[in-house]
Amino acid sequence: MERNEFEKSALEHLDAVYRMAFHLARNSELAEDLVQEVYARAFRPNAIERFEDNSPDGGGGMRAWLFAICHNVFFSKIKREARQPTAVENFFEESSTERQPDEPPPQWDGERLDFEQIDSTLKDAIEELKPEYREILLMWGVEGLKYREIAAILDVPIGTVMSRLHRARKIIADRLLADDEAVANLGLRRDEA
Amino acid sequence: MNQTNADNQKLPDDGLSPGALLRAVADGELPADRLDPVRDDSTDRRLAFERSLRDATARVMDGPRAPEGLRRKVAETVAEIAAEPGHDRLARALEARADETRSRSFWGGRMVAALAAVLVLTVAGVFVSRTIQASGPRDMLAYRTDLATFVSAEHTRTLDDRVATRKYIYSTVGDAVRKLTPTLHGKPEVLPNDDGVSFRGAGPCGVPGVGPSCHFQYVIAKPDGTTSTVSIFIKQDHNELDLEENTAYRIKTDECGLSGYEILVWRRGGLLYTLVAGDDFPQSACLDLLAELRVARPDPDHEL
Repeated sequence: MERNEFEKSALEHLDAVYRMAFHLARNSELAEDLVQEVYARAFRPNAIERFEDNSPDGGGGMRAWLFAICHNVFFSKIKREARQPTAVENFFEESSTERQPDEPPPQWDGERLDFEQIDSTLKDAIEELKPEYREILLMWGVEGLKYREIAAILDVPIGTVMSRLHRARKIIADRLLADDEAVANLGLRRDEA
Repeated sequence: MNQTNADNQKLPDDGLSPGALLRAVADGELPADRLDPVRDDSTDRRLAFERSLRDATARVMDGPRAPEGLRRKVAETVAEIAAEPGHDRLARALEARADETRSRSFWGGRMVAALAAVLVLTVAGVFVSRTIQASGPRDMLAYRTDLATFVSAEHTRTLDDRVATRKYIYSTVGDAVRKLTPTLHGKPEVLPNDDGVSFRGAGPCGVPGVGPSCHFQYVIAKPDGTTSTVSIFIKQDHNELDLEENTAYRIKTDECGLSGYEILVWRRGGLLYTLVAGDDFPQSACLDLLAELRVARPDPDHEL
């Protein structure tokens, strides 16, 4: 890959990297700082020398590489800044051998959906999630990445991705179910959730 | 990124709970038939819930784009780094990488090395050939069935206006192509909004196989004055179906346990396209769409 091509390819993913940074930081100024740091690191000579295009298997390539840097920069900062980084530490202690959560998702009655209500409730629920859950929801929902690709970016086993994704989805579903108005609008059935 | 071992990067063959199984199928990570042992009356509704939740999540989270100021700053940062003393290491590293790709110095070496390479490749070729004979076609047919099952279900699910509203976060062809090009690592070539072809929307999708994917949908006017809805699913092509470039193949839907759908697939420019139409859309009209997309129509032997 020629240098100009490398730069062009990296800059093509600026929106996606900013989106990830924004959802991690939940603040546009912090997100901008994070993105600048991601690109500064990505273009350091020693970093570029380590760049490996994983696309033959993972399909991620440049975007996955930038996401991985964004993830590492953000969570390294959290670890540094927190005196007791309990949540993050606990999070990274998850193992691939943990039991898969068994809760089936609730049923969805599409006849009486109020999309405005859903968007509003979901937005609130997602904003209240821990950053590691927002991050995985973003990669799964918006970026369309497969479990294997997410696992490669986060450097965790695929079982961890499945567990984390399940928890994030469950929190959202529970939030919808806890909201009487949402239940009514969505036609969700509490007894089957 | 490389610490995890290969076994940890595969979905378990068994031992998944019914809930995990259902979510994996909804996400296009596992074929639908994996649900057969646990299927009950609620399975389809639960799948629909998971897919709707994904659509809703994409819609809510897809908002922010990088501000212009940031774009400028990042470009400046990159330029500054490139101008730093010692950064010629970057140029050298990239140039070396490019040289490896371009010149294949491997082949420029001594004759002994070349002969050894030929021997290794011959042995590997025999091995690969045997492997393909043993498992390639079976894998390909399994993928074809997964693909057809998934896209037909998604096509049908999104015929509902309210589901479509949720899934299609891009409302113009230009916006969808612009935003999905970096995601797909390639510019999708799709139908323009034209006379008789009305773009319904596009959004991210979970098409089975490796790599990100998306779903475009159109309403097509038919000569009799009625309309039909047609979907085009696009994903990075990882040679799952071993297709000739730019040539359509018809999927034998009956072999996939499906009826009432016309499904055509083709590859172009590193992307795999799948067109889905219901049986209310004439086969000849599908061929017209292929012509508009400049894709060779399927020969009789181009069936999967």
